[in-house]
Amino acid sequence: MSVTDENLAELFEQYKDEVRETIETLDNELVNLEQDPSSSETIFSLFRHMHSLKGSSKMFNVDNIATIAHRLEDLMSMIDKNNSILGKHPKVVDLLFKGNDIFRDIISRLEDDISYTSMTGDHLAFVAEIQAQVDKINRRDSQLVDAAMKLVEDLENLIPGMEEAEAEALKKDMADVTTGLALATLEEDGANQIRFNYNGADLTESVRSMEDLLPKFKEGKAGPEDAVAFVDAANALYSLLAEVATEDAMGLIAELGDGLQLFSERELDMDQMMVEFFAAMLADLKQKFQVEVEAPAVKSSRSSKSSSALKEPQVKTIRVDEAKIDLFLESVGRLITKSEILNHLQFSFRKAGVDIGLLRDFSTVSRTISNDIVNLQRSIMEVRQVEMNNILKKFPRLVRDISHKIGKEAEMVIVGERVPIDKSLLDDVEQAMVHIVRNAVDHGLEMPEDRLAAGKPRRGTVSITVTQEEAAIFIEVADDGRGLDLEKIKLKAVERGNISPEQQMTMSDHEAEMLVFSSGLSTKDQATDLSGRGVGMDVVMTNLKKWNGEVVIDNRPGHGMTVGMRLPITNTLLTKEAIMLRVGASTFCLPLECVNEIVTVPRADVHHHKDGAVFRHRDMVISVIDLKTLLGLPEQAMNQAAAVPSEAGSLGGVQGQNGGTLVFIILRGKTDTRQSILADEILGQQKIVIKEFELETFRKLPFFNGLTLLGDGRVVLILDSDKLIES
Amino acid sequence: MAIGSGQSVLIVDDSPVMRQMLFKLFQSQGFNVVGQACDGEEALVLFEELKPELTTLDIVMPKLRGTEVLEKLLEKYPGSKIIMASSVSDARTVMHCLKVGAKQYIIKPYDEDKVMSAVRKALELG
Repeated sequence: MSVTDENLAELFEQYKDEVRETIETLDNELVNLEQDPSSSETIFSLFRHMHSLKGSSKMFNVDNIATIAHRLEDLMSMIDKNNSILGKHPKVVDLLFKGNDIFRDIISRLEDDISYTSMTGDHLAFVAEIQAQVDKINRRDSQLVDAAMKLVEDLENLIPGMEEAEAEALKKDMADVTTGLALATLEEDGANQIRFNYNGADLTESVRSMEDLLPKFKEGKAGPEDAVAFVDAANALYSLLAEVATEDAMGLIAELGDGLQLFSERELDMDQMMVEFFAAMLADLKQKFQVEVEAPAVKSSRSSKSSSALKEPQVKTIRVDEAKIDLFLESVGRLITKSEILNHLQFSFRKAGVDIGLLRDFSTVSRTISNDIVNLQRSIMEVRQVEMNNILKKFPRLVRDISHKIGKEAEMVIVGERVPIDKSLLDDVEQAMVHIVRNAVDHGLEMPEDRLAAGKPRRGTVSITVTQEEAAIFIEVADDGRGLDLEKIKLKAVERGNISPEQQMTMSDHEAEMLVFSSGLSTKDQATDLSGRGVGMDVVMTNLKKWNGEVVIDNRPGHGMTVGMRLPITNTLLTKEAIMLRVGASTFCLPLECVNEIVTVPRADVHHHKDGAVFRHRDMVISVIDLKTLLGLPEQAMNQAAAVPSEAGSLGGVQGQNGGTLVFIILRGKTDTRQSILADEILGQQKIVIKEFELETFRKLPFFNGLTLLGDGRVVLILDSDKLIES
Repeated sequence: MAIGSGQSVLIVDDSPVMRQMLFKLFQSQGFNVVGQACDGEEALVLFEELKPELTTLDIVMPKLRGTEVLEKLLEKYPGSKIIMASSVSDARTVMHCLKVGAKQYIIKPYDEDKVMSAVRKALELG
């Protein structure tokens, strides 16, 4: 085989990606279908995606998806032929949604077990469910058949009183109808006790031999001799028909002849396609054998649809394994560290008194390398960018499911699918958005009756708008529901101990709005299993803080609310400028953005209280965070560090002393800038590459949010100013 | 033994996976894949530009169906070697394509042997 295993594995990955994308598209189109069941564009798009899902799944032998997609495609084609089916059988859309969930499940299981490709009991049950639905739709047809039979009988009674010519015409029409009806019921019952005649020629034998062989081909059990027998029978049928052909069936018979001719001429194989071709020809011809009415019109509706079919923007892309990009980024990260070594060397050279000309050359090279690396990093970060659509396409389905579950009606409006976002932000942003959107539907939107009573349209609207700002992405989730009841929220917050009764009285509206994001708060009288018990919205805050994002709320009581999230783009870069500081024997770094000011204060001006030290700076009382105490840095380490000449000693050790000064870094928190860290020494400022903790144990470290490697190979922890301030 | 000897091939399919699969197969069999189109309109443009010796054509695609692409191409360039490769197995579509002049018609799922057998016939039978 020329397609190697490695190639196959790669293709299989692509296949899974493609299925995932198809599932999302199907979800969205299904939501569209529910909103506008008559849209033939939507129906065609659904059909097309289901069709290609079937095709590629067959290709990769993912039987379960292929089989289910095939059945659903059949179901889709019933809708396609008769739009009114959706109105009469609302369950059809549920089935399609369910199918999508099953596809999603299969794809996720395939991640761990690539042999998860055959039909399980659940899958078979689902196929049976689809079949039951198909039968149900068909039964309506058979009801129609019954009604038509009755009509024919009634008409028959009218014939005696008619003019002869009229009666003849009516008789002929009725004969056509009864034969057609008889055939319809026959096929439905699977009965096959019928002889096939056409213009006096008895075709029964050749028809039978073909029909008997069909199942063999379909099950793939037919051998070459079966193929010969089948083609012989088809040829015999054609010769019989060709002799007695009348005008009305001429086209069809000619088609069969052409088929046979092309079959031998092009040396086609008697494969599934050819068998299906002959089977279909036979089915069409059989109608002619009985009823000499015009052939069922060739399905032409589809071709006209295709021209208006989805105008999806097609962007040429290559697929690159995410891990490969991360690896690349990591290498770039290491390069940055290396260029810091060059910087380091430059200082050492200068200290060592290296020739000034050489030093200048060296520094030029070092600077160029550093610039190149920054550019390299920027371009690879751009590669990591994906479109917001990756997240957004999930939401129509989410809104649909939630609103259905609780009996609300909601419409989803999305703007800004193409805005790029860094892949590393994706999960956190999505999680945050899910909570906000859930809350909007569950808590925000009113029940349809309440909405009508309030003079609003029955169906609520939840909209997501993503806009690209100069240095940030702004994501807005708006609903036209009831908005926030601030008094109720404050009351709840007091009840739960999130705020004190005094705070309740003095709190601004803005502060009250922000309470939504505190944990354990839900104003809904009864917690639902959807938005839960207020758990969740605090996740929004946590996730956004992680990326230095901010949240704004626009509350319009009675008219809805808008939650806006702003995520700075620069923050998505993994490098930051940071202050390096020494505390005792340990070196830490603190991102520059967390530093408000570095101040030197005479020891005498630092005052000690029971709960810590404070000093006055520009009319503000700044409290001191003593890292040595807070982190429990060992005394020994401090003693060792005492060898360092500039050692300033711990805060505890300065009590009673009067001389010297202390260095404090005043932190820049979200709201608070009255906290500072006592540093023994500021070592300098440099570019650091932030690495997140990979081990869960490290993530739980209370005051750090990552680590970085220094030019000399040392590992340094990055201080988390927000957590320090909270402490 | 490779079947191709550097013949130029245009692949038309809206599924990237399918295109990739065919691409690798053709490359491995000594063909020269000169272009890949992801919809019917692009197929027309690329065919015009590249004049491939062999084309594989999907049917259910955005913008323009493969059957229409086939008709348009053969009208302008009769005798072009076009192989339909689709999961549409509707009798009339199949017959229509063959009658219009498609050299072969293979139905998804196809394996390499099926594709190459169709390619060989298309090349040999002219």
